[in-house]
Amino acid sequence: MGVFIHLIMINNIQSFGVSYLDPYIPSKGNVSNGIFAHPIWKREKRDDFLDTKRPDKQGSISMKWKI
Amino acid sequence: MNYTKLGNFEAICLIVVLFINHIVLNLPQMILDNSGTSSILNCIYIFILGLIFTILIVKLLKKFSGLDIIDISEYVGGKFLKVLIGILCIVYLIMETAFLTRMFSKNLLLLYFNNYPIAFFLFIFLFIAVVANFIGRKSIIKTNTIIIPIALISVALTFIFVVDLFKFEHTLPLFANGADKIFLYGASNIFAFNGLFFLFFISPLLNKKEDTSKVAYISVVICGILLILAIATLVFAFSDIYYISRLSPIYFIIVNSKLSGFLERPELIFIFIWALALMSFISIAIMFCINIFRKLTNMEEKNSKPLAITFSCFIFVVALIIDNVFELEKVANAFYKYGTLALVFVIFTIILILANIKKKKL
Repeated sequence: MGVFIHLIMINNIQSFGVSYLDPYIPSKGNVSNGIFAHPIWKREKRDDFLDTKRPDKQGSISMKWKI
Repeated sequence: MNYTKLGNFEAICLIVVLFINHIVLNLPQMILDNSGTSSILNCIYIFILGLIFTILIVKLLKKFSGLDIIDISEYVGGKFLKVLIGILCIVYLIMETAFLTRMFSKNLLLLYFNNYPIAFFLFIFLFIAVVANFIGRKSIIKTNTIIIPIALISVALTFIFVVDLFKFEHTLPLFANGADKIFLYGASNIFAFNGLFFLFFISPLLNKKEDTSKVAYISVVICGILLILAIATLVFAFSDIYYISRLSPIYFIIVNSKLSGFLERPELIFIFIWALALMSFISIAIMFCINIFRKLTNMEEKNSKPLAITFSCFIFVVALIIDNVFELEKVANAFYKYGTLALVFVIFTIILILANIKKKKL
């Protein structure tokens, strides 16, 4: 019971318009999983929940054979 | 319904939540009672039927992208049909929630809390749902998105944990009560996909309206695979003459698994996850009741939160109407089966067909 209410309350808290648990919610638009950092060559796009004007973080990567 | 836009994954979790709650309670036993050892065959059959039905519904909904079943019924039959369908949906949600909550509370009572009144558990579950609705709808949907994958994995894991109990001979005779019972009368087991109830409401909520079909197909596939896994677990592990627990067959099978070799009470983890899934469903059901009511009465959103208390009181009362446990099971199963078939698979489909015919004429 308490766990559920806590989850609801934490999801309700927002930091700069983004819910606290948004990085951890499995979603297609989420590039990162919120726990492990991807290698630099994989960080091409920004996460969907940020709702940015430009979803691309960096240009097309050099190490394409690693995808 | 004017609230947060859903992503695809959130919508899929919304459709699957109702299915998950039934599969840990009464659904496997209902299918086993109907089909016996041929339950796996029957589940594959109703999975195919469910897919066909979903394809039909998606095609019918295509012309009404951005509208839910309440709007479509207003288009077909004016305000009268809109109010009628709205009331039917609210009644369906209240009764489903009441029966699910009562059955889960009854299980907890019988297993762990023998001397407590059942109203106590009902009150706790409904209180949480009311608080959740007061906090916010976005949070409910996001929390559901966290809980449902864990609940899905927990049901799938039961298949893996009891592999040592499996015997292929338990599936024989393959056609059990006869092919007509599997394919003719067994087609009514499609009520297992009652999560499709929410499919008729999510179209206006999605970020991209054209993703309704994707969401529908993926959720039906997930429900179908999980249903087959859960039924297969029970059919392979127990022979036909063995009396599987009426409480919750899935729970019973975890208790009998080898997991208790190195975990003290492994079933408690699963009960915890399933309780979270139930609380999530109750919150969602009350949320949808409020929004259907708002749609019918043109109420403002800021005035609608106290309705959560009203609907939870209705659920509390309905859950306590039936005193006898066996009668409750009979009524709950009958409502689950025939209520779902009548509302989701017949009435909603007829409304969609009529709406499409009307649109074609115009």
